[in-house]
Amino acid sequence: MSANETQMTHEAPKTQWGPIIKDMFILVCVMATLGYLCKLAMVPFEHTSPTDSLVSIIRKGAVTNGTDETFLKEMALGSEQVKDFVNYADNTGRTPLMWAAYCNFNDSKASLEKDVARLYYVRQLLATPGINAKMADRDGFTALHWAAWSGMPYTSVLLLEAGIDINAVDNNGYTPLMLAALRGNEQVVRVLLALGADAAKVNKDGKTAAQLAAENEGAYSKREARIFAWTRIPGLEDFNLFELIFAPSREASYQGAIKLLATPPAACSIETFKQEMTAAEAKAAAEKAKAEAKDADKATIEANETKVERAVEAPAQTEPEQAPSEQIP
Amino acid sequence: MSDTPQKTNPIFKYFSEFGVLRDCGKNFWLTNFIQFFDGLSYFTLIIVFTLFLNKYCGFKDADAPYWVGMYTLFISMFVFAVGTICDIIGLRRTYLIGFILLIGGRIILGMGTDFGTEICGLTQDSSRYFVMAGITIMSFGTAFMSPCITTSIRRFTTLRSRPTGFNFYYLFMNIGALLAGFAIVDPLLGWQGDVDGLLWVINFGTCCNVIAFIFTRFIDDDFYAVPEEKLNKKETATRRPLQLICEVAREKAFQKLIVFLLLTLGVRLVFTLQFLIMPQYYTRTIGDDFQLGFMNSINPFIIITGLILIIPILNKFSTVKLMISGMSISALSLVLMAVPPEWYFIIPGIETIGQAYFVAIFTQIVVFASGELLFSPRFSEYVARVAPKDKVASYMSLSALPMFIAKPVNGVVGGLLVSYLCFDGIAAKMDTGHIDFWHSPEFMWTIYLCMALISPIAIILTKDSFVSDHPEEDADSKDDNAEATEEKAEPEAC
Repeated sequence: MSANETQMTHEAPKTQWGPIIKDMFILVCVMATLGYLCKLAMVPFEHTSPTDSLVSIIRKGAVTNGTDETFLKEMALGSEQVKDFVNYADNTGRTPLMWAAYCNFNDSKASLEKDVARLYYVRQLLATPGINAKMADRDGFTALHWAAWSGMPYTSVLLLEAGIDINAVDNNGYTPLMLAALRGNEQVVRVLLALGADAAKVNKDGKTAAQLAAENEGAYSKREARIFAWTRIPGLEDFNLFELIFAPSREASYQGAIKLLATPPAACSIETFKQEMTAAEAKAAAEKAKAEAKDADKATIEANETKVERAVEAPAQTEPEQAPSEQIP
Repeated sequence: MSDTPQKTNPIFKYFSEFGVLRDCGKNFWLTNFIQFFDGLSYFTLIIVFTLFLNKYCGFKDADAPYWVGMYTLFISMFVFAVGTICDIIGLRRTYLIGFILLIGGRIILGMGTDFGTEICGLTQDSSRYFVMAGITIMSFGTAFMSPCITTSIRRFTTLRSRPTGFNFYYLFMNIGALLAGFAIVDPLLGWQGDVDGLLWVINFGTCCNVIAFIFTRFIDDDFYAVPEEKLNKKETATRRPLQLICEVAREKAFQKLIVFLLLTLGVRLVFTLQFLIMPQYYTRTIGDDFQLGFMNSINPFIIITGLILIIPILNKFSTVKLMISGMSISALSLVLMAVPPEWYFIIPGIETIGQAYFVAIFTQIVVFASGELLFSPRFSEYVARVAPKDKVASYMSLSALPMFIAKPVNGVVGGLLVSYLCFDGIAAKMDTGHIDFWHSPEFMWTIYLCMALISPIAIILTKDSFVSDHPEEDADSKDDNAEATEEKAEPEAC
């Protein structure tokens, strides 16, 4: 550095580094003080929960080889430090289980993918000694409400197996089935109806699940915002602003939910859905392995694909021939 | 070519000015490529920064905007020092140091969380310190870029081509911002998912910085398009970073300028919300798969269109009036998000809260960008006109002073408001009628609306005391400095 600096400074012989470094030090000090004061001012108003890190790990969802070491470590650490860690409710009254049962996508396919990715965490949390899966947040949402709203059918199955009331109502009278119907989550509606949810219940406004689904589907399928029609530029003319928040999969899902609410599927056991869940997990794992194999070595793609196909076929053969409805896309 | 229809066509007129850039050599074009790739890197980062910190690195709702605010503060602070360093050690070395810091900081930012948790075996809480270190290092590197690039443009353009050179640079920067949204961020998030996609966006930016760095190696450090300017360099090289403040602090024109800047703070803070709060607001009210990039591309699209079509017309109007109009439009754009979403149901075709939010967001961006288009260039011009002839550059640099305090404060306030009024999962609660106005994102925007409205009202009330249509009368000289035009083109990015 010093040899270089000597060369550098020969262009500007009068340069004095001392005052410059001093000024930079002042700047850094001012900046650090300002930042620290702001942080201090923030502390009294900040929401902090011991489960924050755990929730963020769940949302990140980095399961590798069937496990997430960071999650397990955080669970162990949290349980040591905080009493009843797994049931700790944050400022909105949500427990880690409720967070694991939540996602927010317009595309229902993305919700289903997230559902499969979260199963590891939901299972881990439900297997934790002392967990109270039936807890509700400050508005009366149980983890099942969150899963139903989010469009997570397999998480819903696990939560129902853990004993959450399928007809639990929140403070405004919404049941999980109503939330699934309101969002057009066909797969969740199918699970809940097949496992005995009461479709006749009404919310605070006197609406049933079927009415909520019909209302929202009607609104969802309207696509009238062709704001660039005036331009008469081909392509841009037909550009629909609402396409940006409409996913075709969601629209189809709404229509499926409405059909199911009109003609409920035959009742079946949780085991049927659990088999379906295993198949979906195997499929997701196989797809992941396929993608990884592609990246790893292009030369061996064909060999890997054969393995992957076998991996997909194997669980598919164990599925019941007549599943309650079609498989998750 | 000389036909009148072409001459009157503003698009033709705008681009025909670029013909003068034939004077500029390879160094000028290299600088623009550096700027383009560095701009892509910066804009892709800033679009997803809060989301990356929140979702990928596990920063709390309140912490993520705070750190983004700190990042922009660090940049503004370090910029003071970098100008002097650049003059002393030369462009190539400054680029070298800047890019090493920037790329290093970005790598630490991107890898910090995973490195901490998976390799060092730390908890997620502890591994966030790596991310914070990454942000600090990266901000130092980013601070090098803006002064370095503007110095390069100035150095590699002749006096004749300089204003056009800066216009081209500003246009190129906005094209980078435009592409960063819909062409980079959206596809990457769509491909890699709402969480991992964020890391890919950060890594993409790092690659852009590497490409930009390679371009810097071909720059000729000794080249000056105007050889006489080489002599002036030695004088500026002896200046201390904080000397600027000492030089101008006692000047009446500067004191008036500071008051003016404080008055405009309300609305200028709203400009920073675009990357502090909006990403979380968008994804929480509409969905994690919301096309964030497309929405962020609207602003540069309007700026580019405005640069070409509207700005030449606006030059005919009074600077102060345009500033007030721009400020008022930008501030009032928040009304669109402050009103309850149910109000939008009166518009045919809008029947769900999601649709209402979407229309509110889209309209707000368009209205806000239109206001910004009127305000920002006039604001820079005004600051340049307030300054005495020989101190335009100093005044321009120091005009960022009030924002130093405002940026971290805004980060804190924004973070807290998001954590209270726009928490993750609020969409489900709004769907089921659990959220009243006082606990809704609309209340958050009402607070910001009140803050933003202070600016145009204050400027109108103090028009005769602190703001004038002829600010140059307060300065030592009545002439406009050529540098004013150059500085006007400097990015408002932070």
